[in-house]
Amino acid sequence: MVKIDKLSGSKVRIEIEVTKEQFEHGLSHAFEGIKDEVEIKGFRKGKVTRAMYEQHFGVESLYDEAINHVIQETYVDAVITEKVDVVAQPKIDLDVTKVAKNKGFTYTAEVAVKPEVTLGDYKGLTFEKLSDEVKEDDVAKEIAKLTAGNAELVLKEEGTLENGDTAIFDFEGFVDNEPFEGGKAENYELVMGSGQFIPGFEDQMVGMTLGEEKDVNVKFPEDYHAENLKGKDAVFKVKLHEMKFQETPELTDDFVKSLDKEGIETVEALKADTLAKLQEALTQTNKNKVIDFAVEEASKNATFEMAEEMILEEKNRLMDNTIQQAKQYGLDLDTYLMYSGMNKEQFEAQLMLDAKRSLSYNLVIEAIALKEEIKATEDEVNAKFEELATQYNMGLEQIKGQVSTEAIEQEVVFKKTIDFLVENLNIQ
Amino acid sequence: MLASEIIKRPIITEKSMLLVEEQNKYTFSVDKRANKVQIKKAVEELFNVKVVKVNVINTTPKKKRVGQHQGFKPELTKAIVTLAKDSKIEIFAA
Repeated sequence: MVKIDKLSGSKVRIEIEVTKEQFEHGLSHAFEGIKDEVEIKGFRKGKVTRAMYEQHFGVESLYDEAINHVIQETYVDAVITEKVDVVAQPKIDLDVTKVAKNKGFTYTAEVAVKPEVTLGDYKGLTFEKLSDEVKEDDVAKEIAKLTAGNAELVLKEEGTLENGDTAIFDFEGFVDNEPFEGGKAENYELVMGSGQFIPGFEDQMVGMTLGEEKDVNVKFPEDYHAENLKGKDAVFKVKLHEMKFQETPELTDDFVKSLDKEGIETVEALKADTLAKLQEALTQTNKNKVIDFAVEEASKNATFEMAEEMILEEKNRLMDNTIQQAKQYGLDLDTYLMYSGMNKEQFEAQLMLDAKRSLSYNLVIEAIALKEEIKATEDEVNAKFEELATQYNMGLEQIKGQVSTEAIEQEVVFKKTIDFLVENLNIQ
Repeated sequence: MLASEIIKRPIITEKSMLLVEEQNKYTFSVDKRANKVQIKKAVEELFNVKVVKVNVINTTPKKKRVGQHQGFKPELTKAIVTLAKDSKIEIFAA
């Protein structure tokens, strides 16, 4: 006997009556489970009869296991026969004191179900057209990056040391006229302005000429790592040996050729290629933006109430995914969080938001597909299977064995629904 | 002899339980001095049942060595009591 009551907040209470026979079945299941481990004098291990066991240990010792077993069976059964769309683990409520041998019992399960979605506007939403024009500037920047990336260090024969140049020099540091440990080096290579040395050091070196010797006066910062140097004044004797500067190659056909890109040999061709690539990237981003907009607006306009449990369930799933991913890099969750600069609370809050968003998107898309009667055709499903097969380099049959047709159907329907939403946008 | 003196205790083992289940035979440890007739009467009196047949086994004491010490397993008499079809003894709940 199953009774279902709808509760607020997309939950239902399922009241399930367990019959005497079902409970007895549970008890014998429980006994079978422990039978092999029971020892009673006069009986070989595993040969104890149920009656002997009950005499010795009491039938109550079987209740826990039996109840679990019975609840699992009857609950799953009830959910399937009554077609309840459960989305989380149920909360089972049962008065254990009322359970007795040779009697049935009744329990209730409270569980979150898929919410009913009332759709709002999702057709003809106004969307401001995004510019998909790539500016001349962007191309120039992209090419500048390319040339800077190919810059070479060139020896500087004359002039002074400038910011951004690389200096090769000897230095020896003194605190209170005494040299200190780690304060001396020869032919040290340092990029001016890189901030590797204590503040002020690099600034004072700028402007030096080749072979020049100079005293650099600096003060160690208060938070310096070496105890004995903290906050001390120091003099560094510096001798500059070499200067090098970054030479950015000029944008010529020769440079383009040296990049060794197939089919691109002139500056013009490089520009055209960069433009095409940027264009492609921009089109893709815009397309994604449109999709995001369409789905987000549609779900904003729809009303539905998700049970907390449903979101939590999804959150835990996302959490597990993250842990798996972290594991692939050989990290545990805590270290992973440290790298991403979040503490656990922030991370969980973020996951909650993500879970809520992805769930509501899915619900709304599903509801729209249902309303608009968007379905996957057999051809489309097969095409998707073939696509997967090539992607993972597996046989078609092999893929079909691993991925269920329902999952593929769902994916196809999702994609078609999103296309439908985008087509029905009023783009201005 | 008193009935309670004759019947010492039930023997509950895998084998004896099998006998109960399949042939309605109950096994007891009984006083060495009792005979079959006395056992029959004692069982009928104590458990209020109808006895059909009594078989008796005298076990011979076996040597048992525990460390240095030589000992014996107890000498005992087992009685296998066959009950009428409609009779049952509750202490062998089965």
